[in-house]
Amino acid sequence: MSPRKRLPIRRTQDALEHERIFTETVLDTAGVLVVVVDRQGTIVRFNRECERVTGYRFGDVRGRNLWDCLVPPEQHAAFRAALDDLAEGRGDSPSRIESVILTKDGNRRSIAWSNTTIADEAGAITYVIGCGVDTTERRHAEEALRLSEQRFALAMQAANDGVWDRNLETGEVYYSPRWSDILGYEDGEVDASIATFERLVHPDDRARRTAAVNAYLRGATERYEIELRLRHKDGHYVPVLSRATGARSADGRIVRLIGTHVDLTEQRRAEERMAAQYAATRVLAEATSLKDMVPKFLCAICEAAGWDVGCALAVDPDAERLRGFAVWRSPSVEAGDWETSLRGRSFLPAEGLPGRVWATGQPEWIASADASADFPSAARAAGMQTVCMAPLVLGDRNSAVLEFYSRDIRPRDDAWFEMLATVNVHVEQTLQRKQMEQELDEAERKYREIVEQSLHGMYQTTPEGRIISVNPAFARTLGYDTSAEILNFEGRMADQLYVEPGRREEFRKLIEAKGAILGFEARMRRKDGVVIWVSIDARAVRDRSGAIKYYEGSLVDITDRKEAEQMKSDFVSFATHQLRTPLAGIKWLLELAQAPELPEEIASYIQDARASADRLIRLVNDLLDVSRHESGRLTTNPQPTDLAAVSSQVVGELLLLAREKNQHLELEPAPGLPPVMVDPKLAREVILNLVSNALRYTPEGGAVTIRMHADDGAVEWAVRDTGIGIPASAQNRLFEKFYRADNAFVVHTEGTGLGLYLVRLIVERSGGLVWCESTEGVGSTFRFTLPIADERRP
Amino acid sequence: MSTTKKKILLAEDDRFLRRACETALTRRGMTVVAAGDGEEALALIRSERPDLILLDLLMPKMTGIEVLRALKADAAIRDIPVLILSNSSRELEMHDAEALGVVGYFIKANFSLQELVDRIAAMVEG
Repeated sequence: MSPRKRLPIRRTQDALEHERIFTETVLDTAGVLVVVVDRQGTIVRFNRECERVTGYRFGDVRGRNLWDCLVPPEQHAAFRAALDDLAEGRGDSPSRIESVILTKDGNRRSIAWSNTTIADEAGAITYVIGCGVDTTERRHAEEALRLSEQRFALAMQAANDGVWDRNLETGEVYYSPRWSDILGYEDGEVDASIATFERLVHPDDRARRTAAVNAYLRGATERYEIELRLRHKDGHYVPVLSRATGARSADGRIVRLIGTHVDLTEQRRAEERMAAQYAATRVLAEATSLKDMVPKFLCAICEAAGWDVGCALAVDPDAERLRGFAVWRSPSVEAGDWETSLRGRSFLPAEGLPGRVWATGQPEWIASADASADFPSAARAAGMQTVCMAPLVLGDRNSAVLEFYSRDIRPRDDAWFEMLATVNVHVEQTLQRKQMEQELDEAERKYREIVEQSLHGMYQTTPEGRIISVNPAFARTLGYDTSAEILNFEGRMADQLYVEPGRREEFRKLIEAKGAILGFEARMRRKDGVVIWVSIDARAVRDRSGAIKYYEGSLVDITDRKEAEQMKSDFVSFATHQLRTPLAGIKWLLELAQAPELPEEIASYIQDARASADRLIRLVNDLLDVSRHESGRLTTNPQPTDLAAVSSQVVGELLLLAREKNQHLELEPAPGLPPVMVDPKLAREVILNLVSNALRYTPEGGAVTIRMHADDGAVEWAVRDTGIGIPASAQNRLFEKFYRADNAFVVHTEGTGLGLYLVRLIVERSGGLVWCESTEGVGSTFRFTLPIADERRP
Repeated sequence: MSTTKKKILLAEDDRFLRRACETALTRRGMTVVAAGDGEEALALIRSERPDLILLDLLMPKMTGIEVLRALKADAAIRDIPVLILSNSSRELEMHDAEALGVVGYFIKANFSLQELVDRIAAMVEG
């Protein structure tokens, strides 16, 4: 094969042909797109890579305009402009352009073009050759990278982490803007060397950090994670959480550490505030007295939040001054004159920083002693860097100022004041509680004293008779040495103290019916066996549901009085006899004198004298009865008694009297009425008394009605009349001894004033109640109750 | 009224009461033997053997209770009924009298002569 051996012309043609083939082969083999257009943009060459990328055959596009088939419509203008620029020789050559082309099936591809021109011998541009590289895939990757970088940055920003990247081989460090910001520096302000960084680490943390880094690099720890304090530009230390991972070289060595710093300042402060609040609240809750509370309170807050000195100043309202009250000092702070002087300070309103806080109620925070002239100079001299002061409001007044000092610079933290305000509420509640407790203690002490010193025996018992508490006088009265001796009683008080245990039962019934009882008299046996008389006042103490919890009351020895009463009673008995005898003489002799043949006038004198004698005898009899009931010496014989039968008997006795006055006396039937527990003789006396009264105070032609019914464990008996009634003012006093209503004399002047008193004595002694309801001029109803007899306990 | 007069012994130290009572009983047709103190009463009971004894309690020399005790100790006279007529309403005395055995215990002041004599008549005649 030797075409070169052909003729020269031939050889020239051959050479050209060879060159063409060579060029085409190169164009088709190169992995780049090559497209040649003429000055008008008509495609004259289109290599194989172009065919591959666009999907067109060279034949499809030859002679067609470039933008008819390959350039997307929105780029037509730009493409033409670029072509014109090339053709006119403007711009660089080769020019570079990134553009998008449309493939045959409508997809878009990104192509980076490098264009050049071919001129004719006259220098006019005849062709433009574009060489392009399909960058579509690369563009996708770049886009993904760009997005992920953005997201990363966003994530960093959101996490507020400072990012650092340390080259272990060069010692160079990269810091993100946020990293610098955490420490108060501008981006790039911190010298990017590890030595500078190491100087920022708190001296106490340096060794620990070095050890942690080394351990990680050695592979001794899986992760590098450590809390550090880094010096802020302002001089205070910022707590950060430092974390890092290593980037390894091909031989597996860690050559870079890439890490983050998380600013822990707010977290630390929140923890300190919470700890301080918790500690303070605890102190308040456990406080026993105000005096020892305050130092503990200061200590709790300072220790929890890392303050070196705490001080409380209290307002002295009398002097209108704020005075040092309590001081706490961390053990690491040397005791000195300054600390001692804190206690002795005193400020006028608005004087000095504490005085200002007191006067304005506004808290103060000076983070750096050197930055403010207001910083207390003595504290500055003592090495304190930060002070914060807050008012303590009690009631409506600023009553105290709390001061906290720190040797470290501590930036202002408004949330700290909010925490103190919360604690303030607790303090106030505690003081209120303390005051209440104190008042209660005082009241308790006073009452205890009264109870302990009282000459009256005081006690509490259960309704069943078990003693709950007694005072010393109670014990003394009953001959015991101490209250405890009585409290140690086994079983029921009734069985041990009452001479007649039945009286205790009467007492219980009375107190349950009336809620309280005054002057209940009973005989009790002292420890030495001597029987004494006591008078008991008591009331039932009920719970919310109304059930009786216990009885409480007092007891006093009335033996002397009872003896005097006995003498009186004996005297009354004697006097009664002595009075009755001549009265009976008068009565009988007058009766003998009343002969039928006497002149009418004389006969009427004798009649009146007899009536007088009878009245005197009644009075004596009533007095005797009262005396005997009062002395309690009357032996009664309670038994199940039918009140209807007793009433019927009384009505029989009084029927004649009623007829004389043309009165209607009626006993309403009460079928099935249960018997009551009472001495029948006494029941008769009560009913006779009440019915006689009703007849006596009811005008001629009136009506007196007796009715009775069972109700709630008792029979209620009532007599209603249509009499003159009882003035409201008199109704309460009606059952008093010797009391007679003012209008009683209008009708009947012969009452003794003792009848209703006797009725009351008998009814109450029998466990019942007696009362009256009355309207003056209309009539009265007298009622009494007596307990229904318990068939099981006859 | 029966043909044989009933004999009543009246032991009463108060002369006015004694007189009134004696008169009323006599008017009613009874024979009354009156005594002014306990000793006299006991002697008359033994000698007169009355049908009923009206016995006061508070009397000179012997109280009514002492008379009653002596009477109950004497088989010859222990069955004569005794009615206590006293102005004392002391429970102790009433209790003692009833324990020794009496037919009644009347408070004199609470009875009219009429009622008293009616009751006595009922006792001796009924």
